[in-house]
Amino acid sequence: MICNICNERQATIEFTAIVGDAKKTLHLCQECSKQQGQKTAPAKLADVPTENLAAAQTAETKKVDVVTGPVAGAEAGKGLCPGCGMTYEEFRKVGRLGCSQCYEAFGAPLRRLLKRIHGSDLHVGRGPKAPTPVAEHEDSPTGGTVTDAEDLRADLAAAVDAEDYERAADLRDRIARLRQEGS
Amino acid sequence: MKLDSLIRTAPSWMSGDGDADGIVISCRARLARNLADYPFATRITQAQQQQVIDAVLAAAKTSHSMSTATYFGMSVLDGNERRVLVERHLISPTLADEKGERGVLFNQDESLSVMINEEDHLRLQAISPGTRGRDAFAAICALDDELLNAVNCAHDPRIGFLTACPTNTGTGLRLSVLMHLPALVLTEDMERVLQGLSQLSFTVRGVYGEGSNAAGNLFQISNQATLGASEESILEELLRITEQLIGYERDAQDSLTKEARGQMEDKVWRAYGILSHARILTSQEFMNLLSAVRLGCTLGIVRGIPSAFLNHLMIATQPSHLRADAGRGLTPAERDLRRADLVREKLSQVNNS
Ligand SMILES: [Zn+2]
Ligand SMILES: [Zn+2]
Repeated sequence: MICNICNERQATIEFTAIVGDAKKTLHLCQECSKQQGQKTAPAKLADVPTENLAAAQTAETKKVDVVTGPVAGAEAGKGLCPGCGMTYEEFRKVGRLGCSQCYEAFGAPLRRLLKRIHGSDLHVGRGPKAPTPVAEHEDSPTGGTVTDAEDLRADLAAAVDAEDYERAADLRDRIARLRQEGS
Repeated sequence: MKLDSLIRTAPSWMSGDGDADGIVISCRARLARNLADYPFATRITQAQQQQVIDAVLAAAKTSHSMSTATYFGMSVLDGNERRVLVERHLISPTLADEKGERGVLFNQDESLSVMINEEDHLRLQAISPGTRGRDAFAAICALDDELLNAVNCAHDPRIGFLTACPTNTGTGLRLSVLMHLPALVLTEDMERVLQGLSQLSFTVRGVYGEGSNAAGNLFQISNQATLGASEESILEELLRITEQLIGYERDAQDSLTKEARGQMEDKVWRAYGILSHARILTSQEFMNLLSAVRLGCTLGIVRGIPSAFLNHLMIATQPSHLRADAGRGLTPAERDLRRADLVREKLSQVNNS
């Protein structure tokens, strides 16, 4: 059996991913399996040039599938975007969202996907400028929205409530970082 | 041809300024943005695409950095002209090939560009020469602020900028550096370096060719994640990695010259000899020879050839640039002849100057 990823080396490892209701099996060589491991799997999706993701159904299917990973079939069928009519199923086929409202409509599964891709599902950084500039934001060096510790603490409490300890740990780090930067 | 003046000049980011003796070609920053009031690329109608273009062009007119920029709708360009823009890194192959109303806006020195209706409504790009990633980053933030002021941008306070592909959500920022790492390839240390980088969640891609067997030994290193880390921290991380790679490359160059100075000089001068005299050059062969000459310049074996010259040659010898220069279609065999002609001519000029 030849490795499904590099199509070069001898496959020595079998890798199974549950995609929707279907079980997919990949045969990987040692090298590629290392890269497909949980930790670096998100990397692989980013690795695929975005131009190619649209053609995800052909050559890149395997990579995308592994990343999309185990999404329960029932859950996947739920989301229907009121903005553009896209379903979560359809999104997973094309790998592209239909409009900005899809993010809200696809809720938890999409957030899990974001987390798997980026290792986080919370934005840190620039935002659009407020239409009417608020005085205290004027001084912000990036001209962007500054997430303040108060918000983060609320998120942290919610994360602990939801027993999402991974996210809680993220948030704790960010609060600590904010404190270090010492506003 | 509409791009006549373009193909004879070099973009400013190829100037070779601050390029660590030819090791770092350029730094690039890209931001993905969408207008909140229009569907993304897979759902948008042609009429809506036109409205997006109008809105963006109107916003750009009032901006400081893009008010005098040139706009090209893809529909007014023929296939080769679009490929010229791809070869100059002004547009992506997607923008060149997809259907619908699409275009690109770029400034005179090609340091700033905005693709409209690519995968996202807007793809902002800034490129700066050498290690000046901070310049590219500052330029793109300034443009971003100006444009965002004028349009209603799709953004969520928790997950940041909303993009068509979830791999770009958040900052929408892709920062990359283009590096020439011939000694690391020669000493076969590149594999090790690649592995280390992937653990830092940065991607390395051969720019021409694949993986560590990249033609021309050119590698692009870019961030993978766009969510959870601030733009500044991604920038600082990339610059830190760049400095580290420069150090590794210089170490590898030192050990090569220490152990095999004669072979190194021979390799460089043979490459130079072929480039100066060959009558047929495939693109792959050219890239590899150019890499050897560039290494010769970095090591001081070859003198008097500026990085800017090598960089420009790299673009001028690409297929669509050759074809535009010829003013007609070329068979691959004709192209290889013309490539060799061009390289000989340019090298003789730089020798006599
Ligand atoms: Zn493999
Ligand atoms: Zn939608």
